[in-house]
Amino acid sequence: MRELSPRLGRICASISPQHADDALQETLIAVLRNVGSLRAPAALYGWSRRIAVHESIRVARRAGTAVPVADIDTPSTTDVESASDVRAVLAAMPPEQRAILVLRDLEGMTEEDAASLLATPIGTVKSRLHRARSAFRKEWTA
Amino acid sequence: MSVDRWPTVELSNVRRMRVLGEAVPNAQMAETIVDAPFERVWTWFSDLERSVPAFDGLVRRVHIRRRDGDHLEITSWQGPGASVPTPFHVLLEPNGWCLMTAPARIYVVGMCADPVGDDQTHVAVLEAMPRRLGRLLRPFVGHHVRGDVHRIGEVLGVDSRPA
Repeated sequence: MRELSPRLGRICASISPQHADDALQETLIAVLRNVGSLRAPAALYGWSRRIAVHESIRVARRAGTAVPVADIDTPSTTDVESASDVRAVLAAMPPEQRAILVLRDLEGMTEEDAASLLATPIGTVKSRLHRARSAFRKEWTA
Repeated sequence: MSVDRWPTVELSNVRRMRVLGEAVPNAQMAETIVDAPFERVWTWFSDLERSVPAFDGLVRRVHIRRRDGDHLEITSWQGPGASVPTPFHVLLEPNGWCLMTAPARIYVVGMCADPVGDDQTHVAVLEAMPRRLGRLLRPFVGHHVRGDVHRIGEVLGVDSRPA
């Protein structure tokens, strides 16, 4: 639990920033309850990450506290690196958009792998990532 | 972006214990808020040979056989009836976390504490018999754990209330 917590804690706090404690707690409960079903120990982190992403989205949706970001048409060439306040920008996004950003920019996954993990079409992943990065750019240039 | 710029979260000791309470089969857990500062409460808890027999209604005696940093080997004599010696491996940390595990995980005991401001402490106690027998004994264990938690404030001579 302790080895996984720091990495899973970043995922939970980024996708469900206002209820990060609940998201991480629910994630670890699900991980411990089901770890016996994991056949390949080497896959532990990837499997736990999937649980963390889905639990975080579920907790954030249940709380219903996200303020949707309006569609932004600005072409995205700016990396998340440029954000002045990561927490503030994340808090203003819907949880699904945060999840895409976390998987791509924190976890380094490809868009295809992120789409697979989220069970979302690749086109949706690309458009959400575009909006998320544009939101960061807007924050930086405001 | 640097990993350090992303927000993160760490669970409190009580939340970590709640994770075990939900995940360990047949676990029973109770929580209380004690009107005493964390340092006092955890210093008392950490003296296992004195604290555990004082608040655990089934434990008559605890003996520390070996200590290596945060890891201890202890024997606990518990009833009711004939006193049965049970060995436990203990992880006892100064930050407010203690987990005792009997061989083959036939019995698991957890105690933890988090400060609440400067003058109060949030305490949780967990007991579990993960094996099949534990399911039958779960109501008894739950009643026992709630009694233990209620006794902590009394033993410390301070007010306490359910968390």
